[in-house]
Amino acid sequence: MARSNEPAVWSLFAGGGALTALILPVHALALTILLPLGVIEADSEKLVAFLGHPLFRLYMFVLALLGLFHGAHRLRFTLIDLGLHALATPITWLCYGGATIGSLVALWVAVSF
Amino acid sequence: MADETIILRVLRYRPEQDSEPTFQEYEVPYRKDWVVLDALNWIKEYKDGTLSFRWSCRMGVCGSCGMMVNGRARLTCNTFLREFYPNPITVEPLVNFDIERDLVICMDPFIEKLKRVKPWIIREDVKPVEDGPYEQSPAELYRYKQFSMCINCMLCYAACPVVGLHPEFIGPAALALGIRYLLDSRDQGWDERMEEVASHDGVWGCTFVGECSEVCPKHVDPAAAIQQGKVMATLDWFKRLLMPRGQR
Amino acid sequence: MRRPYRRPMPKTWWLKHPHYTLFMLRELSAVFVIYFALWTVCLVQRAGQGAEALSRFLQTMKGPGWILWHLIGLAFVLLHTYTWFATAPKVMPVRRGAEKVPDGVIIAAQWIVLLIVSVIFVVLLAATT
Ligand code: SF4
Ligand code: FES
Repeated sequence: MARSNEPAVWSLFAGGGALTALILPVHALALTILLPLGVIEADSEKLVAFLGHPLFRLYMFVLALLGLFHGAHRLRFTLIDLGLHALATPITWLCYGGATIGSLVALWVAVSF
Repeated sequence: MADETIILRVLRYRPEQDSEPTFQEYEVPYRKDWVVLDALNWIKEYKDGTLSFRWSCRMGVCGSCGMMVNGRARLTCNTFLREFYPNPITVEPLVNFDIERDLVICMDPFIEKLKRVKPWIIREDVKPVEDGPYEQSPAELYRYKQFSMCINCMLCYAACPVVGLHPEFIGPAALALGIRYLLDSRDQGWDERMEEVASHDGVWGCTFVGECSEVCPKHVDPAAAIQQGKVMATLDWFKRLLMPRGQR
Repeated sequence: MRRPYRRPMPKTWWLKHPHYTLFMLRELSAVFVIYFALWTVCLVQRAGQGAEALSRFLQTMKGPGWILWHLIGLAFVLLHTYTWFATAPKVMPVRRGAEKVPDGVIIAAQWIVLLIVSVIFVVLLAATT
C-alpha cells in the first residue's frame, strides 16, 4: 500500500496542538473573560496599540493558522468517527478548505491593520 | 460457604442452528480463587459440553483466552470472579471480530494484518551463520523492547473503535510490531515496511483514543508505538520531500 | 460448518465507556480551539477600526451569555491542554541512554513552561495597556 501524505496536515495538527495547549488557557482567560469583565483594566488606546503591535499580529496569524488546522484535523476525524464515513472525502475538503480560508482572512487582517 | 454461586451470562452462537447470537445463563460455583476461565471450564465439564472457547496456558502468556467480560476486553485466565461477585458476569466474544462459534472469534483478518507489517528482521546483506549474530547494545534493545512483548491476544483490537469503524485499519498490535522492527538497529527493511506502516490503513488511521494501551495485559502500550510511528513517518515524509531520490 | 456472525458497531459506541466519552470530549475541544482562534482574528480586526470599535466589541463580550460561553470554552481548552501534556511523553519519549525519562517529569516540565508563558502573557498585557 502507498504511503500517505497525511504528514502534511498532521504536522500542522501537532504544531497547533502544542501551541494551543500552551497558550490558549491564559489567552482565553485573559482576553475573552478578564478583559471584557474589566478585571484586567486596559485603556482602549493602549489596547489598540498592544493588539496592533506587529508581534501581536504575527502571533494572531500563527495562532489562527495552526489553531485552525489543528481544529480542522480533529473535526474531520470526529465527524467521520461519528458515522459519516461515506462523506469522508467532502468532509476532508471542507475542514482543510475552511482552515485555509480562515488562515488567509487572518493574514489579511494582520497585514491590513 | 461451599455452595455459593455466581451467574455467568454467556453469549452463544451455533452457526448450524442459530440465526444470531443469544445469551445463555449458567449458575456456577463461586470460588474466591477462580478466574472467569475456570468458570467456563466448569460449565463445559458439568453443564454443557458444547460451549466453545479458546484457551491454553491459563497464566496470561499464550494470549488465546481474550473475551469481553462485562463489556471490557480481558484475558479470562487472569480475571477473577471475586472482582464481580455477587453480581452476574457477562461473557462475550471479543468485539470488532466476527464470531466463529460461541466465544470463539474469527481471527483471519488479524493474521493478515500481522503479515502486512512484515514482522521479521529484513536484511539487505545477510551474514553467514558462522559470522555470528547481529550485535545490539542494551540501549538499542530498549528502544523497542516494550513493543516486542505482545502476546497477540487481540484485546487491543476489541478496545479500538477505529478497528470497528474502519476494518482495514492495521490496528494496534500489528502496528506496534511493525514499529518495533522500524526501531530495531539490526533491521534494514525501513522502506518496504514504511509502505504499510505509513499508509492510510497504517498509523494514519489512528485517532489516538488510547484504549488499546489501557486493556493491554502486557503493557506494550501500542498507542505510544503508533504515535511514535506517526512522528517517524512524518520526519520520513519531509526527508523524502526535501531530498531527491538516490541521495537518501 | 462456518457461518461467521458480524456484530454491527453501534453509532453510540462513544457512550459505551467513560474513556470513549472522554475521548469524544477531547476531540470536541477542537471546536473551541477554532472558535478562540477566530475570535482573536475578530478582536484584532476591531482594534484595527480604532479604540471606539474595540470598546464596543469588549462591551458586547461583557454580556453574561458571552462570558458563560467563554468559560465553557476555557474548560474545553484546559481539557485539551491536560490531555495534550499527558500524552506528549508517549508521542516523544525522552531517553537518557537506556533509561526513559519518567512520564511525570515531562508532564510537570510542560506545566511549568505553561505557567511561565502565562505569567509573561498577563504581565505583557497588563504592563502595556
Ligand atoms: S498489544 Fe497488548 S493487547 Fe494488543 S495483542 Fe499485544 S498483548 Fe494483546
Ligand atoms: S489462557 Fe493463555 S493467556 Fe489466558
